[in-house]
Amino acid sequence: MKAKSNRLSGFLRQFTLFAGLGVLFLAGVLLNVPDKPDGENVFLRIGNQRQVLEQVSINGTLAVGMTLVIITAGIDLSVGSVLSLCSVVCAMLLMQQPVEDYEWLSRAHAIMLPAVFLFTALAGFGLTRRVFKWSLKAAIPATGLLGFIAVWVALGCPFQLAPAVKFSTLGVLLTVPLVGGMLGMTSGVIIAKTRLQPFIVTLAMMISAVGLAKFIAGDGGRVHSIYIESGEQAGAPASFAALGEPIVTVGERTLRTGKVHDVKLIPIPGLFMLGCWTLAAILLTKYPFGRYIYAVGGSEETSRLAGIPVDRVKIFVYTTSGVLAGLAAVLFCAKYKQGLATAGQMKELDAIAAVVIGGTSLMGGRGSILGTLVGIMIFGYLTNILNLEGVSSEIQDIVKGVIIVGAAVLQSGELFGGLRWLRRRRPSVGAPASANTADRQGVHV
Amino acid sequence: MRTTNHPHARLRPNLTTLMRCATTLFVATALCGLSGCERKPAPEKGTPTTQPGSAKETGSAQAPGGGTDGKYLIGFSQCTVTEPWRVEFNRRLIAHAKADYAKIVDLEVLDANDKTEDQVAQMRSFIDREADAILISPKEAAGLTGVVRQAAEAGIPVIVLDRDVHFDGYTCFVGGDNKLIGRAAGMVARDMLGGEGKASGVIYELCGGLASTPGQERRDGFHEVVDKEPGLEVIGGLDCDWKLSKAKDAFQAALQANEAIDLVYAHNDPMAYGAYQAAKEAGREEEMSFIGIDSLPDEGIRWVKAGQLTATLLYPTPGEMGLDMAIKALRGEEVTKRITLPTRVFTKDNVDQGGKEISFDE
Repeated sequence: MKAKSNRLSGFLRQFTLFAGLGVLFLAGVLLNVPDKPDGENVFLRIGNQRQVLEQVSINGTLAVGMTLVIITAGIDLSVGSVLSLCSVVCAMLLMQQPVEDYEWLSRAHAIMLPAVFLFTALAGFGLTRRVFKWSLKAAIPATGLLGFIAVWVALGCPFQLAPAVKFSTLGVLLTVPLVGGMLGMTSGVIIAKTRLQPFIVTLAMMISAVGLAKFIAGDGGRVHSIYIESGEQAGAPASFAALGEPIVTVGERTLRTGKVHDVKLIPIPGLFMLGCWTLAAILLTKYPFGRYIYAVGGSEETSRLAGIPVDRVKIFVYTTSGVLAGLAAVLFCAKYKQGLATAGQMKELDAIAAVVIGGTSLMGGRGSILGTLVGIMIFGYLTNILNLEGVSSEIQDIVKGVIIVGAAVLQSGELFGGLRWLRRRRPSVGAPASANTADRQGVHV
Repeated sequence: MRTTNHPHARLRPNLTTLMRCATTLFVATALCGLSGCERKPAPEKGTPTTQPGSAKETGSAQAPGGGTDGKYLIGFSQCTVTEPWRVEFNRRLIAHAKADYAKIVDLEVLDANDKTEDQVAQMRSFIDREADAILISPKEAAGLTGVVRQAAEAGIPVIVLDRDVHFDGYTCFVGGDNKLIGRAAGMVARDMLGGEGKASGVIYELCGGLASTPGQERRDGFHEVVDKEPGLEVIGGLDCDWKLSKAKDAFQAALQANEAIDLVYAHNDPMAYGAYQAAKEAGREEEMSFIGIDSLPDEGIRWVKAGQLTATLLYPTPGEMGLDMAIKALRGEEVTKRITLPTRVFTKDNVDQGGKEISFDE
């Protein structure tokens, strides 16, 4: 009996989660009903749906890390700035720097190298200590050696002593997220060890990272365009352009003319975002470490007493957030073919809004990746519908604000509670409060 | 190896040691990286290096506090160098000073980091050091009018560049005219779509920051011309904040919603290029023309050369003309009070010949 009612309430919760998205989708369909009987619904076109997925992919990737951070009752304000920084680094690593500007390494290399070193060394240390069970005396030199080898390989030095090292697509996909991870880890360590408020630590990181991005870009924040190599023109490898573009061509029939034209079906940035979503959802639901994340957000002190490695969990979530910001930066570069110090401006707020719309509580301990998925899609469809309708920018912003609040109310499931409160003349003092507390501590995924 | 049911009893000290090691290594590498990095950048002479507050000098050795060897000391306070256009502005000014006036001018370029108070302080220091002439590209009119007045009253020729101040006692103002450029863009668009009186088609407009004067003027000037044409329809007009990424996203949706777009007019080149990228991904870039504004060598000119943008209009940098006027004033020649620099249009055919000047014969 109890199990059944749990299943029912679970279903209802899922339903309210999707209700906002459903309403928005329906609105999109209805607003674009063609005037002529032989017209077609622009909103439902394959190209349009693909484009929505493509446009949310950068914010969607950021929102995954943000979900993890917010579940631990933290916040990461630095993701937008880290994205900016990483986009500059990515663009500079991909494009051959003119030799007269730098002797042989650019500033982008100078920040990429410590990041590669840090993470390889950490991995090396973990391996020697945990897997091979070596002593600390052996682990430290092994770690350093491994780190230096990694840096050496990252530079491509075994193969070339080039005046400027140019990176491949795989190269930036591997190294740029590490730069983001290094900054995220820095915030995480400070937050975990000093017990400072995450708000202030990540705010500081947000300010520094933008400054660093401008410094690395040079000229107080130069735009670094990415050109794809073709013929004699030097530039980024062609595979990098493919990273930002859709794949799998299908034929779509235009109803009015009856002509079949090719449409690309699947955007690659969208695939990356879906991959991150899946991994994070599996981590949160299937692994003990995922449950630790909820526990830390639910009550930090209780978790500490229960033997949960609170500091490690915190460092992990901020590092992940940074890594995903770095990955989002690579996707940004692939999509817009430029790296600039303002790429991620305000993106942290979009990510936070999407997470909260998805029902993740800013108080921590409650939330899900599925909810964030819904939140991010609400954002995507909203922008798409407003753009299709040709609504001017000012009105778009007003509508967005209203919809964010509306969706958050709908997702929180408090709407009906609120109405009940209106109907009841004299609410009892004790009961709703305790129900609320129970709800907040309940974990749902 | 101890075995225990509580793995963290074993893990915790390890974690701490690990963190310490990682931190030490990180700091060490970061230091290596930084010291290496300081050594590395060796910009060629003449390229603007823009470390905040650092003075850029051209010409031979210069002692602070006045021109050496009887040279004129000319100070220039640039409001910011975060925009590519201002980087190009400085580059051209410095190159001009080097090429034509190396023997008679010591040019000192300061960056005010987008702060009015920094710019005021820089102007004051030029006045105190009795510079022979001052060039200023003000961040805003209200906060800088006072210091421009002080300089003029101290008898120093002041050349105001790009943005005006609320005081006309300065020697000369040199700048472009965004409204005129908007009109020129309108004429280019009209001629591409059939010519005066016969033009027909759909134009999609991508606006820069509509809260800024350049954005408004580039829109208004354009509409002055195209709104007269009965055959032209202008749609869009979204505020894309001068950003390529926003313009690309907006234009992707526009491509879905509109079956026919004949021309894209963007208030700067990166936005036009973003629209081009979106159209290319949809396979529709051949159907339409793309017009942008600014014509920076690394942006608009490059994209026009590659056949990606159809045309770009020059928003001229006033540095060279400003320096010429300063020298004229110092030599006691007559100086025109207000100089509006002409715009040029660059298309694939004329980009190698330096573009074509546009005449307003209406």
